[in-house]
Amino acid sequence: MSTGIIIAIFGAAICAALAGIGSAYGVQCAGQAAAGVCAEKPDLFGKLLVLQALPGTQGIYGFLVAVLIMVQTGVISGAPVDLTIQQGLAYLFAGLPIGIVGWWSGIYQGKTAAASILMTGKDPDASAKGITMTALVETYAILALLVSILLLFGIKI
Amino acid sequence: MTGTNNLFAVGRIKALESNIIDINLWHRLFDMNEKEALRILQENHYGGDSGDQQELETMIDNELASVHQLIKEVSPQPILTNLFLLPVDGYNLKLLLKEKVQEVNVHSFLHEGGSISIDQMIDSLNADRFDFFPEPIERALLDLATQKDSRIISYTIDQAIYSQIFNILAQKKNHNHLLIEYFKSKIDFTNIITVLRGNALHWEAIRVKPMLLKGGEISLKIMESVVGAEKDKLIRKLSTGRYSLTIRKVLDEFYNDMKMISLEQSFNNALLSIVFEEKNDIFGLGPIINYLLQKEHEAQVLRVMFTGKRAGIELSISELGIV
Repeated sequence: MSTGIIIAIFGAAICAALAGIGSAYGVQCAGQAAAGVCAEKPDLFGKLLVLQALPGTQGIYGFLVAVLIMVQTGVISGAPVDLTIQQGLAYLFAGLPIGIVGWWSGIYQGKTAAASILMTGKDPDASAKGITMTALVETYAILALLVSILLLFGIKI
Repeated sequence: MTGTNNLFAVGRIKALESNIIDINLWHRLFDMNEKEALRILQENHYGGDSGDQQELETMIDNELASVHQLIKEVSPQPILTNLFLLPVDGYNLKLLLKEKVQEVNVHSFLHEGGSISIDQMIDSLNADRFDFFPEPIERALLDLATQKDSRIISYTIDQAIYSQIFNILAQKKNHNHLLIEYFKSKIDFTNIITVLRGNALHWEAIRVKPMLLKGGEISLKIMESVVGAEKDKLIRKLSTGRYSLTIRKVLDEFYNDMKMISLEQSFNNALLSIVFEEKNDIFGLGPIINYLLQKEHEAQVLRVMFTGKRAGIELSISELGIV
């Protein structure tokens, strides 16, 4: 295995790991708030579940980019391509946007989701507003995902 | 405070906030006679769902006991939230000490929900073993061993409760600016009410001074200097510190209508507004403390409202501190 492919694998791992950490924190944050509200108003479970799930998307985006890197570099098929160091670094840097933005936006979206869950707990009719406000944080994760994908498809091997 | 376990507690509290009596219900209760108002409270599940017709005091006691129990259950920092339950302990202690002096049974007036269990409190007082209490309260109880003056009992216990509160706040140096601000302001506002009450009753300084609580932002020297003072001097001297504008506004209003109940409610609202500013800090204690104080304020307003209804006294909704 060349140094280039090891760097590319590191790029896949880092984007899945960072975005996953952000999502895990965000979902946990929202989950605690949802559990508190559900303890008093169990009938709100459905509305709260949507809000709790929203910060989980960053982890999926990170996973998606990691899989794309693995497909392009042949790691997933068990026949890794012989990459140069420059090509390996290109894959690493292509994975960074969704890794870093997914990490932070997952955390911030979790906090927004928690606040929206609390708002829904007080006024169940406000859940749609809460979903909209929480979804806005997602915009930046989607932009980062787009940049990562465009960069990936721009790499020539 | 960054702990996310706070979120579970805040989640439960926020879900329950919709049970706080809102302005529309206050207006309805205000316009009804006592019997109808009690029925409406019961329909809104105030004081629990016993199903039986209850007295207002029983409903309030049940409601506050369940709120205090909830705070104890969910608080991520019970040491700090228990500070808000210490005044309940103070109230119970004062009653039990007065019971000893006056030889009357006060057990039915004791309030559940303090940080110290009532049974333990009674056992300790009966056995004259005070080491069970926190140090400032133990010291106060030892000082009051032979005291028969209920006024001295009252302010000695109040001072001990605040000493205990500030002892705990001094030990927990982080994240307590809200609590320090709240309790310091509470002492200031209580002292101002004491001075104004003393002035209204033409009490001499020697009688008022020992009743002033230590630990507020406004020094005792300033407080003592306005005992018996005229309006202008009193307002000028007391309008100091962080809440100088609030104090000036409340005192101006007081000298316009001279109603002690409005003064107390205005200061109470000022205290609530301190906590209200942090009620949406979902990672802090603000929402939990705000809920507790809102429920205590609600109980206080209900007591005044129903007393007014029974006595046939016309009270305005603003006089009751409903905003």
